[in-house]
Amino acid sequence: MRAATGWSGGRRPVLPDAGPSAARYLVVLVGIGVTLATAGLSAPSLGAAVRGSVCSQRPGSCAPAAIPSVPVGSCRLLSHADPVTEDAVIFTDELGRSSRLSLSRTIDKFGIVHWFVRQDGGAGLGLEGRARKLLALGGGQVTEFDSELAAREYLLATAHQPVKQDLAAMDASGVLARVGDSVDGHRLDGRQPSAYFAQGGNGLDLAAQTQAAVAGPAAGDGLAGLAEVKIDQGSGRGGTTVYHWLTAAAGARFGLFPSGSTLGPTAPGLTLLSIRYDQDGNPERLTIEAAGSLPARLGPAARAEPDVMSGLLAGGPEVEPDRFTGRVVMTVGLTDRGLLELTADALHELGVPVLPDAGSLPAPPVAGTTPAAASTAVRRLYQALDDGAEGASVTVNTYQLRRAAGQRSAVALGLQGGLTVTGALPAADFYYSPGQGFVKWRECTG
Amino acid sequence: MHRVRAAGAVPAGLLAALTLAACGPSPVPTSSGRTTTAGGAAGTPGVSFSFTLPASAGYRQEPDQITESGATVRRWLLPLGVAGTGCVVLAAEQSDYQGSFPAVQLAAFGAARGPGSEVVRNEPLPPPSGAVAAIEQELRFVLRRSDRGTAPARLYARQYLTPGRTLISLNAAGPDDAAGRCRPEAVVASLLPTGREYTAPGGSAPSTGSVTGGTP
Repeated sequence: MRAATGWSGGRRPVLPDAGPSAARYLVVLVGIGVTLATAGLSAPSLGAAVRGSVCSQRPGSCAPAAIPSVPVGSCRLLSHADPVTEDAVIFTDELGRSSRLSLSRTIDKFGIVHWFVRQDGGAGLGLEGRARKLLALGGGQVTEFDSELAAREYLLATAHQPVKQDLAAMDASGVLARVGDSVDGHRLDGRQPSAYFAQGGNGLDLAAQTQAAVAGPAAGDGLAGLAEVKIDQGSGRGGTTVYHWLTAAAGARFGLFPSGSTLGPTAPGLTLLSIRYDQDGNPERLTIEAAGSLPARLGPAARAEPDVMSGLLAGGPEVEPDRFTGRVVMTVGLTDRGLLELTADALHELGVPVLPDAGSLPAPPVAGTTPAAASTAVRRLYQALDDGAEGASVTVNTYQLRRAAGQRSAVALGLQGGLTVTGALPAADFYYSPGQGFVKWRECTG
Repeated sequence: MHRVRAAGAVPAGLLAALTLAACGPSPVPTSSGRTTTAGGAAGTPGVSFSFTLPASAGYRQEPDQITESGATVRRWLLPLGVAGTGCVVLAAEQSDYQGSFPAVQLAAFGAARGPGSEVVRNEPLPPPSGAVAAIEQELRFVLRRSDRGTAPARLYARQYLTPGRTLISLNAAGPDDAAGRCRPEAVVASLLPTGREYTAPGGSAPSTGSVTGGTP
C-alpha cells in the first residue's frame, strides 16, 4: 500500500483511515511534542487533550471504530464428544470492514470466541518467507486476538500507523517517533500475523483441470473456482490451505443439495472444499463444508438413524422431508493412506481434479449421470464417516435466522473460518459423532 | 458475459490461433448478465493475444465451456491412444476478475501437487504489452493412467491480467514421451500480444475478452 505510506515530496494523498494528513499532523505535533516532553508525557488528561486537538483537524478522523459491537449471546455447554477436531468452527461472524481492515469473530466448539483482524496487504512481519514474498504480490494477513478490545485497538493503531511512520521519517530529531504513540493514544503492538491469505476471486484453477485431462478426456468439471489460499504458521512450519468452490453439479452429486441447483442468491446452498497441505506439499486434511438449505436427514430427526451420511444418497427428492438452514462440515485426515485413497476416489467421482496422485478413478462420471449411479465412491466415504473412521468427523450446525423489522433474513457465506452468518446467531448445534450419531451439545440464546 | 465467436474445429496441419482480447476500462456487469464498460462507450478497443498450436500435431478442438462464474474455457485435445491419455491445451478468460493476482495463483500452484510432482517454475513474468501482471508456471508430475500404468508428464502455464481485470490463462500438458509431438512448452510460450487492437463487432459494447479459434 505504498500509495498510502509513501512520501514523494509532492502533495500527499489523503489516507483512507489514518486521519489527518501528515503535514497537518506535523504542525500540531511539533507544537505539542515540546509540551508533552516538558510534561514528562505522564498526564493522561493532557494526552487526551492533544488527541482531541489532532482529531479535530478533520472531523471523524479519529472516531472510534465504525464497526459496531454485537452481543454474542450466552452459550451453555450441554455435552460434547471428543473426536471432533480442535479447530472445529461453530460459526464466524464478520462484523464489519474499514478500508483495508476487517473484524470478525469465530466461536469454536468450546464456546470460546476468537477475534480476527484481516488486513489487505501489510508488512507480514513474522510470517514465513514464502508468505512474505507473496504478500508483495497481493493478498493480506490475518491476526488473531484474545479479546475484542485488543482486536479493536489493533484496528485503530494499524489505521493510524502510516501517519506516524511518515512523521517519524520527517523528524530528524526523533522526538516525534518517541512521542507519537503517546500523543495518538494507540500503540501498534508487535503481534505476529497468524496467517497470510489471498483471495481467489472465484478464478479458474486450470492447472488442476489440465493435469487431470491428460489422464482422460472428461476430467475436472467439479471445481467452480478458487476461493482462497491461506498460509498459516502451524507449529513452526507453514501449511497451505487451498479453498475451492464446488460446482452446483458436483454439490448435487454429493447428495447435499438438489440436482440442478445453481450458484447465486437463490441457490439452496454452496459447497466449499479445502485441502491443507504441509510444507512439503503432502495433503494433511480435507474439509468439505456445505451451507444453505440442507437435507433434514442431517438434522435433529436423523439422530435415530444408524447411517445418517449414507442415507443422504439413499432416497430421491420425492421422499426428502423438509430441509433446514444450516451447515455441515466434514473433515477427513489424509495422512492415513486408506482414507486418502477413499477420499480421492470420491472427489474424482464428483469431477473434482485434486489429489491427483491418489485414488483409482481417474475418470469422473460422464455428464448426465444420475447422482445415484455416480455415488459409489461417495457412498464409501459416507460409510466411513458413519463407521467412525479415525481422523474423520462431521459437524452439523443449524441456524435460526433472526430478522429485524422490515429486514429480510439471510445467511451469507464467508471464508475466514468458514461460514459467515449475517444478522443471525446459532440457535442449536448438533455434533455428529462418528459411530454415535448426533449429540446436541451446545445451546445459545441471544 | 463474454462474447464468444466459435470457430469450430481446427483442421489438422493448420496453425490455430486463439485470440484473447481485453478492454481497458473496468467492466461493469449489468443485471442482465451482459457486460459493458464503465463509461458505456461502444467499440472501445482492447489488446489481442494469441498463441499457436503446432501445425503437425493434430490437436482437436472441443466444445467451449462457460463456467458458473462466467469464464469461457476452450480446450484442444490430442489423443495419444494409450489408456485414454492425451495432450491437452486449455485456454480461458475471466472478466472482472477480483482475486489477488498473481499471489493467489502462485500460492495455489505451489501448495501441492502430490508426492510425485515437482513445481519447476512458479514465478512472475514481466507483463507483455497489454497486461499489467503475468506469471509462468511449470509442473513435473506422474501421470496415472486408467490401465494403472504411470508415465512422467509436464504441465506449462501462463496467466496474464489485463488493465481491465480480465484474467487470461493458458495451460498445456502432456506425457514426456509425446513432448516432441505435442510441444506443450512451445504452445504456452507462444502466448503473445498480436499487436492488433480488438474492437467488439457490430458497434456494440465491447466484451472484456473473447476467445476465438481459427487459422492464420
